[in-house]
Amino acid sequence: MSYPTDRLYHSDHMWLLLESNDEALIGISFFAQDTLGDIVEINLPNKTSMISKGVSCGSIESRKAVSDFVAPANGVVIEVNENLSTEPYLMNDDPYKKGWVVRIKLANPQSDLGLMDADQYKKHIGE
Amino acid sequence: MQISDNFFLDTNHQEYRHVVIRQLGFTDYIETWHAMQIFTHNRVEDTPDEIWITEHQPVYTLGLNRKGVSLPRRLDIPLIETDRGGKITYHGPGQIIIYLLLNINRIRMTVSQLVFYMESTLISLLATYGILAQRIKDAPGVYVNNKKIASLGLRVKNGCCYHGISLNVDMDIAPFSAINPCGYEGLEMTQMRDLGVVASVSDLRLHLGAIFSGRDSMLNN
Repeated sequence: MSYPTDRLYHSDHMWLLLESNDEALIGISFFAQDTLGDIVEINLPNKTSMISKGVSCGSIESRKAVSDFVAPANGVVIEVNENLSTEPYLMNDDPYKKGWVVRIKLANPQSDLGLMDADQYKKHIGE
Repeated sequence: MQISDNFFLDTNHQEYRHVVIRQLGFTDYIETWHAMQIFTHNRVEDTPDEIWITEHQPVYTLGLNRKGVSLPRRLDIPLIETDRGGKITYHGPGQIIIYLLLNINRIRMTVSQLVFYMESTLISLLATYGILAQRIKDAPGVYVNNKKIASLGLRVKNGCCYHGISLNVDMDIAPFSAINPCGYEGLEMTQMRDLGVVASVSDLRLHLGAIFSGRDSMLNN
């Protein structure tokens, strides 16, 4: 399993990659896509909607089971990966690049995000 | 033997947790669904897992995956929009429903493993009645000669699931022909009765209760 060190991780198996202008890209971890199995459908938050850390902001369906997409930080959605509506399997095949989920504008860019680094996350999932 | 029997009966043993089986008989779909949501919302880390075995009056239910779903071609059966995975299905008398209220993180199962385990459980159960059932790749559920006999749909919230699996035992399967079950056009459904098995929901209910409460059940941990 791979967990890039350039990003942060939330305990509900989401990653967050800090970008310029207080923006951040969000997706699901390798562990998440592996435990869910083949993702067949995804319901994403709309552009301009606010998401709150630790709160569900969408859903992912795999193997007839619907799970929550939990926000790893507070912010406003500024871009949604539209490719996922027709190619949800990108989240399985390439969870850190083509399978990114949303881009947000962070609500509190100056404060500590309270997320894990790759090593802490690996411990969290028992690797 | 005596020691292991005691161990089996000791529900408070710190390393052994029983799944609670509730035989509910006929229940109202919406009431039971809301009860599952409340149970899952209120459960805490050491809440025992539960399995609710029930049967519903005729109802079509539409899952969260509504892309490309055609609505039922008959209007005499109510349609309920629910929050499970999967598309559209039918429930009615003579179909046994197994609702799974499990902390899947605690039993260390992934969603895929839970689905696989439930399919395996029903395939073994059907084998005891002489029915050779199988999986079909990329189409969760249990099939006999490419006809579907058991359907799945789950919702996972904070690592705990609800909804479950239904098995067609001895029912009127005509209402399935007014939908494309699970979104697959032309998918035919079957049931135990049509495969020559004389069994009632009551027989199955006891049989399943015994399987899930058995100490070799993966749900008892």
